[in-house]
Amino acid sequence: MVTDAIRKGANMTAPAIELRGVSRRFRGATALDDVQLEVMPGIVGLLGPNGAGKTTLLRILATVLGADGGSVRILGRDPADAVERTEIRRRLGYLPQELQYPRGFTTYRFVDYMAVLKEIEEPAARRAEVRRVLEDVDLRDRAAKSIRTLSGGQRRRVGLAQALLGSPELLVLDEPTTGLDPEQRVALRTVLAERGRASTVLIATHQTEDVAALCEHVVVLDRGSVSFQGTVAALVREAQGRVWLADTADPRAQVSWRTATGRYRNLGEAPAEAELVEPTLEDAYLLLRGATESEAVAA
Amino acid sequence: MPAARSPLVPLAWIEAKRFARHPLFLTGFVLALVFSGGEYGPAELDHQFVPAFFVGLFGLVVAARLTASTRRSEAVVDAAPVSETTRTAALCAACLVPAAAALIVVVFFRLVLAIFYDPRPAYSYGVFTTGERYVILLVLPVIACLGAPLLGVAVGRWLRFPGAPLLVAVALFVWGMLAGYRPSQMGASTWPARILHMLTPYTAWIEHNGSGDLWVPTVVRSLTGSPAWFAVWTLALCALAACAALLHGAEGRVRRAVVRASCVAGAVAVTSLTLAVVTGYSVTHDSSSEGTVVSDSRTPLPPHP
Ligand SMILES: Nc1ncnc2c1ncn2[C@@H]1O[C@H](COP(=O)(O)OP(=O)(O)OP(=O)(O)O)[C@@H](O)[C@H]1O
Ligand SMILES: [Mg+2]
Repeated sequence: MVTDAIRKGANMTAPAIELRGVSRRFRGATALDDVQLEVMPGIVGLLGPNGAGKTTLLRILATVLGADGGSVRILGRDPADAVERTEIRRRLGYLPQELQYPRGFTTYRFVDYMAVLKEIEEPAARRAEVRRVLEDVDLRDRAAKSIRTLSGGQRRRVGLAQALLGSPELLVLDEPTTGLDPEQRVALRTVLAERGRASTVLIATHQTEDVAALCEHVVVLDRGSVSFQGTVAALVREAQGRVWLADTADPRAQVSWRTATGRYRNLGEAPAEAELVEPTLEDAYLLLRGATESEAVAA
Repeated sequence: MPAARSPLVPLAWIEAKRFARHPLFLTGFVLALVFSGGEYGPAELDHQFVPAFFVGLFGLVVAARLTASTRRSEAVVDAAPVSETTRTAALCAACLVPAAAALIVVVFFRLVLAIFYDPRPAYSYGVFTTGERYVILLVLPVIACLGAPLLGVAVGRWLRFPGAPLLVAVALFVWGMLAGYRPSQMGASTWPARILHMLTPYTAWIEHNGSGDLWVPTVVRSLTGSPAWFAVWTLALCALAACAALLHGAEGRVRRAVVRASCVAGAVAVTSLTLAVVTGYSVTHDSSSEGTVVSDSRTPLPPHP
């Protein structure tokens, strides 16, 4: 469980996020259904297939979407109350899954504009802060460029830069590494790892490598409900003894695929003679998905 | 993060700079200067149309565009602590940019006339007193160029369909043209015409038989109404436009304050409109080198000799 999370720093002992029975529907479609979640400070990965409700959950945590039912507490405050919502927003950095930029802004001007919206008013402090976050995402040399002229990955990093402004207590990032090249991804990991020492970082992603490299804890969403929450190590442990290599795709496996070496990686209940290998987080995630899928079919 | 100081001032600076740099605003501003500098205006009181059109109406579209532009990033903008009301207030403050531009245009026009041209004959100002002339020439254009962009902010907040700013600008133009010039032709001294002539954000004050650069008018017809109370009425319209913009997304205490301010502005608007109609000129006058006479506005002006 996430409750046994890392405890560093002074205000790192209370849960940053507490959701009880949270649901959210969109015209008939249920995006979140009775979600129970407690997130302690640190870096937490949020995994789940397309349409699982990750973005919906993160939008609720970013206070831009309300829940239909259940109780939401973010940094000990209730986002339904206007005053407390503003208090949450003062401590929040948010990168949405899809972020567009107003026309005519340069990189610097947009981040500066967001810095003003985040109440960093003193001009010198704001300048320094904008430079710092642009440095963090390696966009200093693009500061004067119009955002329109940036590449997709660079535009993504502008979004990341604004999320990092003011070193927020809670960072909510929806697929931050989408479109980033490997070097940038690694650089971002360094920045986020640093942030995770003093605050809560919640990252929704499809990149299990990012979760494995960064996160101590992981939450898996499936059809609007939490199907796993705990440490990354605990999730990987569940796959122990269930991943093996073979020369063919094993019909007993839940999933198998041909790897670059020409051999097949099989996931599932391993036969006795199987050549077992160390599972990765991706293996564990796929096995978990397989299990929930078959439960759903049985139901 | 400090929250003591208001983010309104830095935000207003940013929006003002965006306004001042907008190509459409700059185009309108330059055109207004060109039309103020190059032409020997036949009747000076007609000049107010130039800033109102090029800076005011263009400014409406600019303000609406600036307001709507950050909607593309609303996912992050909405998650920031600064409220939508504060952001709207900053945009409203930025409407001082076109108002200042209008002031530059009208002062530039006065300077050009004072330096390069002979004084106009007194009759070309109709019956208006010196004070009223300055209201018409210097104050009303500035108010128009503040109000139209403020309306643009409200349009940007409330109307989300493409082309909305242009549509509202055209509607405002047509309203001003109909209310400003038509009543004089349908009997400016009747009550309905006098009310209609003031019930507009922009109105004409004279008609004449001159033409552009070609000839100086021989007869100038002063229309009805009070320029000073009309200025108060249009200022109240500015306040109402700002309130309409601020109301979008306002909650609780702020919302109640905006509603209260709208009520005050509405009361001032009704009062000043009434006074503009009642205390102003109630009949039209025709002025020429021979003097001023009360005229029947349904008779067309005599053709230029
Ligand atoms: N604004 C909306 N209107 C209608 N349905 C929505 C809306 N937003 C989300 N949904 C629905 O809610 C469900 C969850 O969507 P969500 O975007 O949260 O998934 P996700 O886990 O982020 O998916 P992905 O990995 O593809 O980003 C989906 O079925 C989606 O169709
Ligand atoms: Mg998503």
